[in-house]
Amino acid sequence: MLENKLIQPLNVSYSSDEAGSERADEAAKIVASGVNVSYAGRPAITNVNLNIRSKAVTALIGPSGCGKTTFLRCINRMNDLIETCQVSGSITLDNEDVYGDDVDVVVLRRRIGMVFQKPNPFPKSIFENVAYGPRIHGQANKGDDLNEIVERSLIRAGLWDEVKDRLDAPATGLSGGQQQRLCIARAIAVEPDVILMDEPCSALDPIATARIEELIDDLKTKYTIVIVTHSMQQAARVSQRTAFFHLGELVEENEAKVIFTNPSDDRTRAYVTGSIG
Amino acid sequence: MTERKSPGSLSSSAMPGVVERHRGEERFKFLGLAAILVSLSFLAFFLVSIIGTGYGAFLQTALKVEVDLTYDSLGLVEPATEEDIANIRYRSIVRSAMRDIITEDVGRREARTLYGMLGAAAEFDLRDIVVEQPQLIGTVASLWLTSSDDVDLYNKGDASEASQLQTRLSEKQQEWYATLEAQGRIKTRFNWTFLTSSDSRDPEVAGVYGAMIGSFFALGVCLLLSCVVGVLAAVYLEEFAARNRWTQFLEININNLAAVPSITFGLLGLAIFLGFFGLPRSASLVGGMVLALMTLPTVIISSRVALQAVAPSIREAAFGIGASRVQAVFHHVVPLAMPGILTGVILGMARALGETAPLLMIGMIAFIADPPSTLTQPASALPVQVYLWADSPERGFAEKTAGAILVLLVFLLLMNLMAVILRRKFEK
Ligand SMILES: Nc1ncnc2c1ncn2[C@@H]1O[C@H](COP(=O)(O)OP(=O)(O)OP(=O)(O)O)[C@@H](O)[C@H]1O
Ligand SMILES: [Mg+2]
Repeated sequence: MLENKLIQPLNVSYSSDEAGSERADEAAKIVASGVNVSYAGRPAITNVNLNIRSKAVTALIGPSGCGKTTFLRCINRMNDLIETCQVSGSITLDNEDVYGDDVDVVVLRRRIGMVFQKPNPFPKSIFENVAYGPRIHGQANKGDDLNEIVERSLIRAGLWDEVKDRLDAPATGLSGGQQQRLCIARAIAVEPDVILMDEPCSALDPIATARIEELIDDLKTKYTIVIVTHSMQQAARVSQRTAFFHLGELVEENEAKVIFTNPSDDRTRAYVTGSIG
Repeated sequence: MTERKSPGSLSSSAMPGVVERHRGEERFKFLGLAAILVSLSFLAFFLVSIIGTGYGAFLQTALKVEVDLTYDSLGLVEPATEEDIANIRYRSIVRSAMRDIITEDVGRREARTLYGMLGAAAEFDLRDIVVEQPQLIGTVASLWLTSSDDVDLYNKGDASEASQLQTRLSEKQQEWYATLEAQGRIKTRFNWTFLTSSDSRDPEVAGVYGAMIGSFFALGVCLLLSCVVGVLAAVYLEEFAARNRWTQFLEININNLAAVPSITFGLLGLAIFLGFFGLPRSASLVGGMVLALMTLPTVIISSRVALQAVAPSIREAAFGIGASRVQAVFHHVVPLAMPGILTGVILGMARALGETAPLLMIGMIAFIADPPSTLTQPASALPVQVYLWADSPERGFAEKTAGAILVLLVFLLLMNLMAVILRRKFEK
């Protein structure tokens, strides 16, 4: 089944069942309007307007260098860490401006978690990795509460069975796929509303990828998920909405099924059929 | 195997220039090896000559004499009080012990040269022994006492003509020496005095203890200051400060300071710590502060390099779950940079330990006969001690100089070893 999906790229079942156009009018969790980002004066993305739906998976696709990561990092203000980076326009989370004057990035990033392209666990124990977030946010200080959060997060991330006997082992000793699931567990341990994932499977083999895709599918019942991916199959499999970026522009955003079968823009069509990119 | 007529198409000669390229490689390997051999031979030469001269500092010559400690001859009555013991005239006891061995008739002048074979060190030895073992009083004890510096050198020098001629022992003294030797009254023993006493005008009682304590105090101050100030400065510059003209300016200046001659920091310390703040001269506190000024740039630079080497993905991971900057830095980045920071700090300390010039400027060059017991007391330091002894005219100080250098080298070795061990430990 899995191999099938990989060999026949576009012959997949779209997961648009419950979150497609029927819910198009539902309030958006995140609204980006007129977002421009430049690095040291060189524009990276221009005038992006995008609504990201609550409790659904939105995939960002597009050729390398088109600004997917840049856009994603605008949402939780990770771009603040890059000094040459200039952001203009507005992004709101639940109608509140993310770049507003009184926004505390610590609070913002607790509500918008992030999973990175390369698994980046802290070089500490598995337990410490998951417990770190809840601890610094004061969600739990007592041992039992913390243990419970760690266990719950690891179970949600589908890693519990594999690591429950060695929570004190160093996280760097896990396999790449396990590390990535650990990073997901770490992100959900602080109970965010939104999880941003930047090519979370690019360093993983197909089996680990399949597990993470299952996990994403499961997580969307509780979280709003934005995922950047280079794999059209993956975007088709996991996302309800798909946005296509090209040369720093948001070309088209629609139901995943529409993007992959009947896109309105020629560039999108060319990209999803593999003739540009 | 068939004999091949022409070389195969994969051999070096099949491609133009390849042979020349290989030759270049050989040449480079040879030059590299030669460079390493040259530097190794310098090192070996240095070590051999220092150890060759310096080992003598750890040995001393002792003479066996029978000292008369009977109550009669001490003029005391039983039992001897502590005060009595303190008031014993050890010099005359040592002298009469010498007279008992060399029984021939000597004039006043000659007698003095005879007593000169057991110097001031012998009196201190005897006093220490009597204080430690009061039960010796009332007996005639056979004791090994430290010989004078001249006898010591005569004993340690090889028996060749040249060194016999150079010796400062008179003909008569050499005769007595032969007599003593024939009676088995001369031996060479480990020189604890060198490690337990401080500077002295007499080479036979001079030691490095005071200088070691001074160095220890100064390094402690230096470590505290440069660790706290240096690491905080590095963390601030690397993790918190915005990159702008101002920080670039700071960075250039710090890099420049690392290359400034160390004596300049001594002048700075003289002007600020002594001149402005009025701190005491020659104190190990000020010495440590001046050394800290000198090591700060090195510590800052190496700490920044260590911080830069921490993978950015760790910072992102921490920020990504909402850690504040201070949390990300002190929970994750600094612990990971710790091995590098520590290596930098310890190497900086090692450099500070061997530094003389800035200490001279703040007066740590004075002759100091007692080890300091507080940070503000006048103190010496190991490299300064080396400098002072190297300058002394007495021949006995030549081997003390090399001996002090050996002690310094051992400390440096220990510090570098510590750097390696700490790094290993933190890397786990
Ligand atoms: N830190 C940075 N400094 C300067 N320019 C940057 C920086 N990060 C990204 N850029 C530029 O911004 C543009 C968009 O980059 P971005 O990383 O968002 O692309 P991407 O769509 O994520 O590409 P990929 O699929 O290869 O990850 C590129 O032209 C890139 O060179
Ligand atoms: Mg990217």
